[in-house]
Amino acid sequence: MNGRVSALQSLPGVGLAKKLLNRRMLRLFFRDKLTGLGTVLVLVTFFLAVAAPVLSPFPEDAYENVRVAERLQSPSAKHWFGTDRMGRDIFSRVLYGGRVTLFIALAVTLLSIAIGVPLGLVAGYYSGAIHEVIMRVADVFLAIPRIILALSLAAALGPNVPNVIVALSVSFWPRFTRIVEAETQSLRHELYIEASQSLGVSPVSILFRHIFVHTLPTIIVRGTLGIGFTILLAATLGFIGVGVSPPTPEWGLMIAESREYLPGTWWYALFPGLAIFLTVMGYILMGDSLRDAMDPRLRGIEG
Amino acid sequence: MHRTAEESHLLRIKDLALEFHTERGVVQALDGVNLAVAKGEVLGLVGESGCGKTVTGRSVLGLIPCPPGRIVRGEIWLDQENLMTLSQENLRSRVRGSRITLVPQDTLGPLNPVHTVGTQMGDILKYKGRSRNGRPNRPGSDHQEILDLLRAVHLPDPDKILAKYPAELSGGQRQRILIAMAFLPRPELIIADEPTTALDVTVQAQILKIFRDLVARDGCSVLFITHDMGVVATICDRVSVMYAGQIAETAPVRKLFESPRHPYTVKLLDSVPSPEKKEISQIPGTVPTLININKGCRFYDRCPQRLDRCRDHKPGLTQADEDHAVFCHLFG
Repeated sequence: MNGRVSALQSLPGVGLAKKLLNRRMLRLFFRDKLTGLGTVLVLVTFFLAVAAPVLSPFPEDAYENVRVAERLQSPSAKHWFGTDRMGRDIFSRVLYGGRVTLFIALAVTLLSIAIGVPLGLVAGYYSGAIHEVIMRVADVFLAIPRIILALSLAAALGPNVPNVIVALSVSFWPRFTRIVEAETQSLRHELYIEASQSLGVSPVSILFRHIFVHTLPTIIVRGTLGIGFTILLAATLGFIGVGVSPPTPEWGLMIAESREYLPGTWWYALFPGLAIFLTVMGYILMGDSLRDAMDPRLRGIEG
Repeated sequence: MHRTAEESHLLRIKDLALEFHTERGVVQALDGVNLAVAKGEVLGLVGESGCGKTVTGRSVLGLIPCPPGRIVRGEIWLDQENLMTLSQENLRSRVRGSRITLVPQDTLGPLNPVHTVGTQMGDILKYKGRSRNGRPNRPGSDHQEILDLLRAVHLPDPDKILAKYPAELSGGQRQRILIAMAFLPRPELIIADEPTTALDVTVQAQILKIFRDLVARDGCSVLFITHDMGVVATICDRVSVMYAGQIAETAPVRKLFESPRHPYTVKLLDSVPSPEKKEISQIPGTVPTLININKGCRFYDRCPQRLDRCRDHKPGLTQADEDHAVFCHLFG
């Protein structure tokens, strides 16, 4: 009974800050073990990336360094993940790779939100020319598969971190525009929006104070999932050779380098691959459980 | 300088005609509506569903979506200002929410579910309340003003209420809050769009009492839209009866109830249930669709006393009395 009452109170109702600190919501969020795993993975990978300079046994190996005598050694007490073709410590490079990858993924997602969300709000709130122009431009970008658009842009711009960020953001922002536009379309006919219009609230205020807050849960969920997919895409670009350029310690690039030494030097590809797998899985699991936790239809289900 | 009786009215709607262009044709939603609300007066606007009451209220606020709506002719004056000549931006920043406010019918929908009641009330004063009536502008005065108003609408524990979200309150509490919000910026005119329809009768009676008290306190004018004759008798000074987008009759409440002139008003008052009546009388027929409607009186099809000329000639204004206006050929 208690569950039903609190479910009613929080229908779409309760403010976001309160929502995020809501104990019941946290319980929902950690309902199954996979969720806990996702969050732990996200936190651990983030911590390892931030602390890479302190944690790496060979920070000098992150970029250019050659130790011919130690090249292609298998994992040992000195080199936990073995060494690569230049004799660099793979463990250190995987840690530093996390910095590069997470920086790219977070920058791309935030940039896409910063571009896509305001455009989606405006397109959804106004009908007519503004709506058509924004949505048709977004459609053009959405019509091209993300990987192909990112690949061709990255190839055209040249291999470095800022260019990868641009290429991935250009292919990502329309997704936010789409979902925010759709939500705004339905929200703008809500009575409280009409009521604010009758009170003479300015359009900017209506969009940000009254509509934007309702789209936040969707944006957070899509953003979290998006970080995961962006990491994967960034690694793909690195693997193909249009992403960041050597000697940057990027996971996809490291796997690409390892190809000619496979299958003998299995550690060369395995550890960067595991890093990609675990990080991406972390964000996707966390995104899924955020979606469940914020979905009002699932509120009040004890589990 | 002496002002004429007409100019002393705060709100004057003159010959307002409004159309909606739909796929099935042009809906003539309002046809020559004349209304006037004096300062400090509560004018009731009654009529059946779909007769144009809400549309009239919305056009005063300039909130008719165009397209599909189109104002064909008419003037809307608020004091010395013709609202029809103001731009949307001017209406938004200078009229809506400051000089004219609205009490909506629905109680849950108009409050944003993600902000607390306190935030939403505070915003009104922050953006709309300051510039007028020489209010004190010291810190904390906003909060005090909101608390006073919540007490005036008989909400106990106003501090607790302010911290709540709309979904945590009952319909009656939310209606009180919406009324308080309408009075908060000290408007000159309040448009109340069936504010008690969603409530049960006991709460309705309390709310009407509160409303009357607040109107008396602030001396503002009210356009009270309703279809409930009982509500009209309780709260209004004068009443305009509307039928199918036209005004049928305007009179002081007592006069209208005692000696209704227009056949529609007579029938409407007959339809109010009472213990003495064994059967509730109805008005035969239905409200006509307003697409390509006949040029004459719109009540023609259902009128028991219709004349030949009623079909093609729109009835003009007849003063049945000094303060009693009828739009009907029977008196012309």
